[in-house]
Formats: sequence, C-alpha cells, structure tokens
Amino acid sequence: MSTIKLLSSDNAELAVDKEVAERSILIKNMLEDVGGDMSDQAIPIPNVNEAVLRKVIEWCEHHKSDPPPPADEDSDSRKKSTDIEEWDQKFMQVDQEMLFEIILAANYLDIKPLLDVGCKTVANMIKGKSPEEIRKTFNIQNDFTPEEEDQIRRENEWAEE
Amino acid sequence: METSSLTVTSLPIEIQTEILSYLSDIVDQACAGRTCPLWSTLICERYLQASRYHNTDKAVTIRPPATVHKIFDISAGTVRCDATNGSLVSYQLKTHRHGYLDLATLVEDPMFSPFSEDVADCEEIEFGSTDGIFDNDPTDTIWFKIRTIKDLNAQPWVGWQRKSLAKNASIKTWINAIFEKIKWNLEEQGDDPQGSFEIYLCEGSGYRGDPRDAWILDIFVFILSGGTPRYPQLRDGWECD
Repeated sequence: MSTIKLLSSDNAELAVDKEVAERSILIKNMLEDVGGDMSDQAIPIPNVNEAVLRKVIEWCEHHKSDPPPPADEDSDSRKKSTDIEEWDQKFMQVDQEMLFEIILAANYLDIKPLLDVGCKTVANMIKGKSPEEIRKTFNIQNDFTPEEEDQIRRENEWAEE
Repeated sequence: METSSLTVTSLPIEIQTEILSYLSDIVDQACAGRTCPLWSTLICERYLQASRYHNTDKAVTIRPPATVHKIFDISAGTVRCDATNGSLVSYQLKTHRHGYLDLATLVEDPMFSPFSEDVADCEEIEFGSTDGIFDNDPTDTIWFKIRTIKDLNAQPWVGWQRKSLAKNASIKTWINAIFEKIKWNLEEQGDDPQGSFEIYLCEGSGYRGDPRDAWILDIFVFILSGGTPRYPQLRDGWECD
C-alpha cells in the first residue's frame, strides 16, 4: 500500500495511507491530476493545522472502507436524520472550537460524510433548547434590534406565566 | 466559559444552513430562528422551508392532510395571535416546552406545501366557517374547514360561509382571512372588533373528503378577551392541555 505525506498549516508532515487520504475528494482529485505519484513530496493543506489534521485522518482511517455516499441526493425532500453511529459520537466529543475546526476542514478537504457528522452533532446540540439556552451553549451574541428585543421580552413574560 | 474565536455563527453561511436543515422539528426551528438575526434569516431559506411540511409521500396515509404547515400540528403547540385596534399585531406558537415563541418569520411561509403535488393538482382551496364547535358553545368559538378542490363541481358546503384563497397564500394571509370573520362575528354580537383580544388556532383534524376534494382540514378558533377571559372555563381547560 502506498503512503503519501500531508503538510499541515503549521508545517507538520504526516504520513498517511493513500487509500485513507483519498476519503478527501480534494486530495483524491489532486493525486489524479499529478498521476498518483506524490511519494517524495508532501501535499500542502494550508487551511488545516496539525491537531485538526490528525483528527481528520483518524476519522478517515476508521471510515476508509465505507461505501461511497449515494450521489444526487434530493436535498429538499430527503429525510434528514440526526442519528450518528456510536464511534462517530465518541469521535465528536471534543470542545466546540475543535468541532468547528473539524467541520471547516471537512468542508475544505471535501469529505462529505465527515461534514455531515459534524453538522448533525451541532444540530443535536440545538435540539430541544430554548433560544436563550441555544445562545448560552454557543456563546451567540443577542444582537436583535430594540424592537425585536421587545418581542423577545414579551415571549419570556409569557413563558413565565 | 467559551473563549474560542471560532463560533458557530462564524462558520460559512452554507454550513450554518446545513446545520439548521437537520432541525426537522418545527419548535426547534422556531427556537433557532429566535436566537439571532442571522439565524432568523437563514431559517427562511427555501431549502429549510420544505421540512416545515409533513412528508407528502409518507404521511398521507397516517395523518392527512400531509401538506399543511407544521405550525398547525397540534403536537407542536397552538398558534396564538394578539389583536389590537382591528389588526393582528403578533403571531406566536404556544409550545409545551418553551412557552410562547414568536412566529414573525415563519408566518410568511405558505400555509400549504409549495412542494406538494396534492396542492399543485387541485383547482382551488376554499374555506368555510360555522359558529360554535360544541352545542353549548357561544359564538366565540369558530370552526373553520379548509378543503382543496380537485373538481370545481364538488358538492358545496350547505350553510357554511365560504371563501377561497390562492394556493400559495401565506399563513399570515390565512389567519387574517380568519380574523375578518372573527371581527364580523364580534360586531354581530355587539362587541368591539377594534378591542384587544387573543385568538387561538388549533388544528382539529384532517381527513380525506369527497373524492372530488383532495382533503379537508378542520381548524378550531377560540377567541379570548385580553385581561379578563370571557370564558374562564374554556381558557382553564385550554391552559391545562
């Protein structure tokens, strides 16, 4: 099995099985463009630091034999489940910054199933929470206008009845 | 304490939209939409709008009509509106989990699914009303029936006041049409339609009607005076739900 090298944004060189790295469509296309031979040269991944890249590789390693996701899904009508398999749930038990870094890396590297797992994880953190609880969970600034604020206050008054 | 500079709202917009698209529950969507102005806008994306209607392929046999907006799903809550000076001034969803949530953005959605063939195929959507839901009820309760008509020769409803609205009419348009009937009723009773009062809209049931109709939806409307409920018994029963 051939191995390739990836170069993180903070200049760490990581050796990865080609098959594992090819879970990333970006890397797969890059390797195809150069004819598959990148054994002596590290592929720069300028947007992803070492810690995040290691996490992403760990995910790709575990999922290297997964069948490809079905193409041309109709995003309007497909049933959107937030079920996440157990291994992925544990994998995603990281702090929020790492979670968002993984999502950004999956988006950049074009690893759709990892991006899906990341988005589902965040969606599950939103589910069942009130607007105020969501703001607290994600440290979101409440930047509604004074009129909108007034409306929210009224909602809260009602909620306290 | 979260000190990171990378937050959920600093992710690219398309990723935030993707995250919100996993919220299939209408209450979760309403809550997310009240979190910040950005999410209030994102929740209106057509991409997310589709999930606010029941799946037309599957749910038809279980709980027709499958094409009605989920804010009229009684399991989500009850729609509550405030009327002042002859106009509706607020639209809220009374939820079991989080109290009252503002529906300012969601009421702009079409009442009936723009993604449904059932709606696209029908000739007309009309609604009719009759006063009083139960025999001993005063006219402060109104029973609305909405039906999609496939065949314009369908049997008219006898004794019901009828009106039709466009297929793509928003929830706000529908509620305002219902509100006109309420004002008319109040005037008939000698009450002031310009006063302040609350109305609650609650989905009664949906079912397949005459083969020439696609389906029929019942909506029950309860009118309560602002500070002093006219019908405390009704209100108490309502609040206990």
